[in-house]
Amino acid sequence: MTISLHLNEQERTAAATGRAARLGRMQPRHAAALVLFAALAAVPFIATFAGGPYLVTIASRIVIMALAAIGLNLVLGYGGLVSFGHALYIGLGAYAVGIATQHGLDNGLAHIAIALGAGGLLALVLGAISLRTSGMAFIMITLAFAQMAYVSAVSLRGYGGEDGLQIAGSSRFGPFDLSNATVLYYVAFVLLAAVALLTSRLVVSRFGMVLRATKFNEQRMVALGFKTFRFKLIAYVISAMICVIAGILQANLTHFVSPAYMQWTVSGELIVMVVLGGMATVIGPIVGAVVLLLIEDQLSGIDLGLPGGADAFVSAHWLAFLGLFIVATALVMKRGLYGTLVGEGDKL
Amino acid sequence: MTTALVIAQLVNGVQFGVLLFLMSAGLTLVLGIMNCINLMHGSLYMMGAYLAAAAYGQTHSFLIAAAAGVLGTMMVGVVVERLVMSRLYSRSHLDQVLATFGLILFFNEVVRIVWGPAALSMEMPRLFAQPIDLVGLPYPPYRFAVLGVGVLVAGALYLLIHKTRTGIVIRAASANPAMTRSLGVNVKLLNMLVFGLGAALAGLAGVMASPIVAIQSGMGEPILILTLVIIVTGGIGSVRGAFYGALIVGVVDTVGRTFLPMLLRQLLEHSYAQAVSATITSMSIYVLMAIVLAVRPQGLFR
Amino acid sequence: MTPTTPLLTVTGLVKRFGGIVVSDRIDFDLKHGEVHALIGPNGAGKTTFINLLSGEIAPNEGRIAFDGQDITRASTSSRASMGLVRSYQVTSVVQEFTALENVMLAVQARDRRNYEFTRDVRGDASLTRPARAVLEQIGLGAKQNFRVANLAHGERRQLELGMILALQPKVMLLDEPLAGMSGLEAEEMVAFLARLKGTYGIVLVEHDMDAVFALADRVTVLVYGRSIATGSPADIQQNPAVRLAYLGDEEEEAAA
Repeated sequence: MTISLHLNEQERTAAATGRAARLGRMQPRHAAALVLFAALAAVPFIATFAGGPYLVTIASRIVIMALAAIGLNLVLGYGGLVSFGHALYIGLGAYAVGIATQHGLDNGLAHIAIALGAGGLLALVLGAISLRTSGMAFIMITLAFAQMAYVSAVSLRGYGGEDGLQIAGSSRFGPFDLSNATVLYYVAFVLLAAVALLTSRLVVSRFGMVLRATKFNEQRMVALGFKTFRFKLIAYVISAMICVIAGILQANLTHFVSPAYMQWTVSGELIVMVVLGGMATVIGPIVGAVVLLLIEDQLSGIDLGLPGGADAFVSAHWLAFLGLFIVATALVMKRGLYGTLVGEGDKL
Repeated sequence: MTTALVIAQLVNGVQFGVLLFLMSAGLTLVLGIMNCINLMHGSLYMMGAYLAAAAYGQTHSFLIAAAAGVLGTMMVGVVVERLVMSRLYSRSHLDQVLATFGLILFFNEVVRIVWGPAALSMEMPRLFAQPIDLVGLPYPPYRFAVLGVGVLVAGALYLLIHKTRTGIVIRAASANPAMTRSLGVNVKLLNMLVFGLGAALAGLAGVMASPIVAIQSGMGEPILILTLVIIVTGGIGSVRGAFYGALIVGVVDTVGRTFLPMLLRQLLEHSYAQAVSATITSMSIYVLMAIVLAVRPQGLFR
Repeated sequence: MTPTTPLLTVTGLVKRFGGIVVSDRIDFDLKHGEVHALIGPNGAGKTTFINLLSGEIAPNEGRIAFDGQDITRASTSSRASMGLVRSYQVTSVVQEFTALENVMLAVQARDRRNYEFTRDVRGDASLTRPARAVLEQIGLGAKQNFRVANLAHGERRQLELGMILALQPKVMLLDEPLAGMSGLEAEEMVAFLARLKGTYGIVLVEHDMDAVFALADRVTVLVYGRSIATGSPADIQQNPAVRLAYLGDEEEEAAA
């Protein structure tokens, strides 16, 4: 099997008629996806030779954020709904673990049940209210609700308030628990792969086709008889629950939860990941998460030996450079890094 | 709970509302006319406070500090408008959100680069140092000054929008941007003007808040979110909606924080009341917004 | 319900925008299998009337009854589910999907089974087979895998028609189906619509008078939001009030 980055005549024609090329050559985007997953799967092995536990930690963080980004992409990329408040659900998942553990409950299934139950319910209520609006108002309302959750978390003095809560323990699943870094990493990785796979099925399912068509032409979908509100709400709830799962993993990774997990800046970073990687593609958010978090990591610890103390300046004020990078992404990125590989249209 | 306390808190609420109105009026015009989300409006508020504090530090004149804050912020606004915002008007809301989000991060760091990570402080102008008597309670006169300035500005805005030719163009552009464009109005100039005006108002809000709040990186975002809540509740593009929305939010937030704990302490056991009231008071604004949107999604005055 | 009872009955419909009355106490009805055309000068309120029928705007006064039910307050999606569907003056389809995917959506809408989350629709014969049949019927079988953005204007309008046919509706509201079509495309569309007569009730808004006279069983003339005449195409041609409304406009245009 050879991998070619140039489309031949047959592939061009096939692309024009929208049919996937089945020609015995792997498409570039599938190759990229395969490489990405292989690399992520190999991280703990690589870590034994170079990078050590730090590599596993940062890779865990990337995988967990990638999971949340895939969740957001469902409503943002495929649904066309700009939600600026998805960090709320990450925080909720983390707090579920923190609060439950605080009360002596470390059963992983209980953590999941509480988190998904509360998260699903909250998403249903907040989504139902937010989706009554559209466009600018929708974005601002999701931002406001996330802020509301942040402020509520700060007032939870019994659970650490603004300083956050140390989590003494991990989610237990029978004989094993998530306290082992490698176990946690592989659980997160498997979940990421599973959610990616399910998303790829979802977007071409009956539900997914209606959701995507609503993004493109809601007027026509309503005129066909679809109650579009329901589809958007269900997509919103599903995406929220994916973020809740990411939050559960996050709490197990850091053994800590604080209101900062729900801050709107985190929601903003999620959006950047999705746009940077490629909206309305399954793999795009993962690429975006990898790239963005690596950039943040590198900028804040930059050590390239640049002249005139530039290194120190950049690493001390890396947020300013990140900010400019995000502005550039917004102005320049059309389809995102992975999205450019995919070409036009929503695809895997 | 005395009448005097209630009145004092109401005045506080109205003063806070006036400050919020300055923020909301500018932002709702930008949203309504250019159809452009601008999340860095809070950063302009922050620049107003920082520039005022810095100028005061050099000159010890509140008047000069205020001028520096307002004019300086307006210039920052115009530069940002020319360099970034003007490229965003035709883009999707998502791109606008992303770009202005990036600008927030940038400005939050720029103030740390220029003025360091520690918070700045601004002296209360000596004129307002002595508390005055408000129905028996000592009350800071500065808050009255803020109220006064706010009402003056609101009045000037009203005159500008309803009694001048520029105002007619602004109103037309707010109601129907495309039509206004096709009528030959210099849209670039109008956009710059409206954005600059909004920036000046935000800067003024920052200037007036500077003696009362901590001047630090990130101070703009909580105000921004309140501003967004007000605009959404009042109706995007409606200055009248911003006015009433700001007053309502200002009063509800202030009064809620003061009296809700008292009320809850009557009804619930003490420690429980503390915990619940803290959560609810901080949420009261958002609950208000949710109720308004559940009933009237386009906002109250749209 | 006997076949002689109208399928669609509109009584005293009024719509005001601010101080302007756009629809002025309109009475209108559509019998089973009938093509009832709606004509009138520009600005008469024809599209507003269609929007009122489809539920995209709500009337200030009046009543709309469809298939025996009062639908005056019903939403657009409910009306579509009940069998009252429309096409738009500016073609409204999903440009980013293929022709086949568009018609499959319509088939799915009729099928009402929406909450499947893992099965690939492209392998679902209950969607693909009826969709392909419709595409053949409207002559787009060969281009079923073309993205709509790559189809010609006339083909897109045909596609939209195919989509609403796939809904197996009772009544179709067609808002200028021939708009923007070349002579040949228009002839084909008229021939196609003629084959639909008798099976569906059709409210046809059109400017193309040849098409109107070829297809319509009845014609209503709308001027300044008021229905000034209803009758057979021949009657309408002779009607003095109608001639005044149209010719009067022409005289004004000639003088301007």
